[in-house]
Amino acid sequence: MTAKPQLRALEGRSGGYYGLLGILVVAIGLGLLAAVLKSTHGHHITGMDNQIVWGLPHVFAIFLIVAASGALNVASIASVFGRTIYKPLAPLSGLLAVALLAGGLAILVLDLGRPDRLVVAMTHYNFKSIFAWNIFLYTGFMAIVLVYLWFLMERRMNGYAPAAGMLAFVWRLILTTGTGAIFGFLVAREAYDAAILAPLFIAMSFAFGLAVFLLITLAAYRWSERPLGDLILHRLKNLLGIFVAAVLYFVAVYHLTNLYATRLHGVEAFLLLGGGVYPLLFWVGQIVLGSLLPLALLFHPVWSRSRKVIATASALVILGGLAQLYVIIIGGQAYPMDMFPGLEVSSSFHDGVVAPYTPTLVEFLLGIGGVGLALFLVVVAIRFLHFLPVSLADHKVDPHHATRADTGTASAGT
Amino acid sequence: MSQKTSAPLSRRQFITGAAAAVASVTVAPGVFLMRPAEAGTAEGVRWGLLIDSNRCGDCNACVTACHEENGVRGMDRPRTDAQWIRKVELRDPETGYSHSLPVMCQHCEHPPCEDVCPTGASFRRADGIVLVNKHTCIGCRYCMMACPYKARSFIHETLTDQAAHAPRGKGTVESCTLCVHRIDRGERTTACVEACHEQGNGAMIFGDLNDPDSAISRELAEHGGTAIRADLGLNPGVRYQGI
Amino acid sequence: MLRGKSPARAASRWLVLGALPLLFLTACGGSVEPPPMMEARGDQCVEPLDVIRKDHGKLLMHERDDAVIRAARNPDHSFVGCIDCHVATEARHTEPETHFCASCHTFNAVRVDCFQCHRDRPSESEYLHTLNPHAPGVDFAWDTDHRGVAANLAEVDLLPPPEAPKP
Repeated sequence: MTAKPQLRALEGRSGGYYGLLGILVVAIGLGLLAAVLKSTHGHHITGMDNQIVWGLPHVFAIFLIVAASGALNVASIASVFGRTIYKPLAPLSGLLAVALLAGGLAILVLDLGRPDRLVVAMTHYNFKSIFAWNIFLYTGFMAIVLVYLWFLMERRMNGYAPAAGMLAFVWRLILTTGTGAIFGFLVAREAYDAAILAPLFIAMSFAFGLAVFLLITLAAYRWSERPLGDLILHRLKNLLGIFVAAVLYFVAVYHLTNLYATRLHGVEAFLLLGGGVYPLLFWVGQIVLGSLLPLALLFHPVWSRSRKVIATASALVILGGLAQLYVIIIGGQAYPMDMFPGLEVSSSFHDGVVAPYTPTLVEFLLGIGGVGLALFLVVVAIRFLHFLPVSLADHKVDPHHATRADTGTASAGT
Repeated sequence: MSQKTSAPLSRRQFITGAAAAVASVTVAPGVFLMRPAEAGTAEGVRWGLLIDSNRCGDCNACVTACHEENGVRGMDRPRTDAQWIRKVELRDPETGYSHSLPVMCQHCEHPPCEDVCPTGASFRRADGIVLVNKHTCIGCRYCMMACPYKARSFIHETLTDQAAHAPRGKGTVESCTLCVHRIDRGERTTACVEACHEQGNGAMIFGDLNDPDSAISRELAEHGGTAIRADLGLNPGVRYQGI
Repeated sequence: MLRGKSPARAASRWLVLGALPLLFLTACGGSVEPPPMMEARGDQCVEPLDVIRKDHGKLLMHERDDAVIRAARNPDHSFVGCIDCHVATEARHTEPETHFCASCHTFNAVRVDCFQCHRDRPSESEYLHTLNPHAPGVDFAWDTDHRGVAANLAEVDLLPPPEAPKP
């Protein structure tokens, strides 16, 4: 690998580009509208109540935050693990990490009961709270990745990139552990209070982040008509398959361990069998559509050569991830708290009964706004700055590839 | 890239300048002034409640009194209306035995809500009362996720006509204050306990758990009392008999 | 027209860019009527006028932490005390012309969020009165048409639903 990868900004003058920007601006506007409505009228216009305190906006927000830390993976593989083949993609990977995190944090802040008190949140810290640590972890992550991006893209600072990449990699592992610990540290609810939630979230971040990265890369190269070779796609899709399998492993261990404890049979039966929408989302959304089907698609020797299939698999992983977070966050709250083991409980405060939850449009729009913000930042950045490699054709990515026996990795159509 | 001095700022220079400006503005968030005034709480006191659920029956006097005292009104939206205290009906499916008891914030010695609050708004006072400092509450509801007793409520709408001694507002979290406004005025009873006595059930006692001569401590020493979810090790200040 | 290097251009640049702010400044300065100061009850304010005018924000912000977290309540600087003396019973913070605090704060565009949580007028129940020594006494003639808190609650029916009959 002798030639330096060439990165150049997009032309960005086509109708398609402006159309995409317009859609994303509308999405951000809808999110802001939802935030203003919620701020004026209070949370009673949402579906969240005193039983389900975190709802659909948090599903979106935590997905974006988890995906953000995972999106940095490609850059980490290049800088930390020395795989030079991924070096051209490292800036895009860093950009995605920052943008997705910004979108997720925007949703979280706008959903606060008192978003006008953000300054209070930034100046008063209770360091026993994982939330307080997360404030530092998230903002620190953004700062570190921005510095890392600078090192990657400023030629005279390139020498420091591996060090920054290592720091970013370790930081994001701590950050994702912190995100999983938000739930893992809660003793009150039976679906939480498990140490395995931290590594589960790390595995999820690997899978979701790479799925988002793949989709955005495929879209960016297709719509800007820059060459994208199969070699790098092949490696990335294999990685995605491995990560999806890792998530499956942690989910299996989590549930099997819970099933061993008699006191947890109630919540497991609720989440896996009789809880209505939650078992549906778990089995159909998370397991079949979000894990097994993508695994089949990504590891199939023939199907996985098609870009449509890779894109579909990535999209399924994302949908499965949203379903998974819905089950974890909302399903975990819906199951009644076991204050009096063995007794039937009822009260005016909805103790002892499964809490129903119907997401409202306001919550959905807030989530969409965050997604829109993240994508908007990416779309604008690749237009004005040199994030996107000019060519990821096979011979550019790996100059020695042509000398190896060509085993039929030629582009098998789109 | 040497240019004439009137060349426009290059993209790189603009970003560097902007980044430097943002970084310098973000430095050093506020200095939190620690002004330790002498505590107004009585020394070494731990306020608590003892509730004999065998005497509760169908009565709701404690609930009505608490909500009246603190200006907690329903908005006809049961799922989002705040409740500082509620009567919980328990029934043993094996034996058919049923009884009820009031559940409110248990004022734990090691409150999970205090542990998880990012701003420290949820805190435990020196005299054992767990409160929400609504000046710093940002409404993230993490304490509501963490409370093992589902004691906390979030205010989902704009409020008017609050009680003067019990400020409550949209976007913050609240729970039973153990009638801290009464205690700080020197009264030694809460609204729920007072109402229970007036009703004639006498199921609730309020007092200083650290004082071995107080009524609550003597009752606990003679007849015992347990905590809900005692296995969590939170050492609540609210104890029950008959659960 | 102002770009370029000649001395004439430089001079006119200075003139325009320097004169403009001065022009704007001269446009200000016409005095605007502040809102009328409302009459207060009680015998006197807890602090001298010049102190309370300048520092009431500081007093309230710094002492509220003492009050809430450390239970160190200073009766002289009680916020409820301010309201009891200064705010009329029919005032609302959403109508600045009626409300003592809101009138000046709206005029000066200094946003305060106290009344999102705090009651914005004196309490209806006399016995829950402040400890403020300068406050009106318990026999002060409160608004005759104020309803008790209990009457309000009875109207909106807060009670939880009746318990299920025992088996």
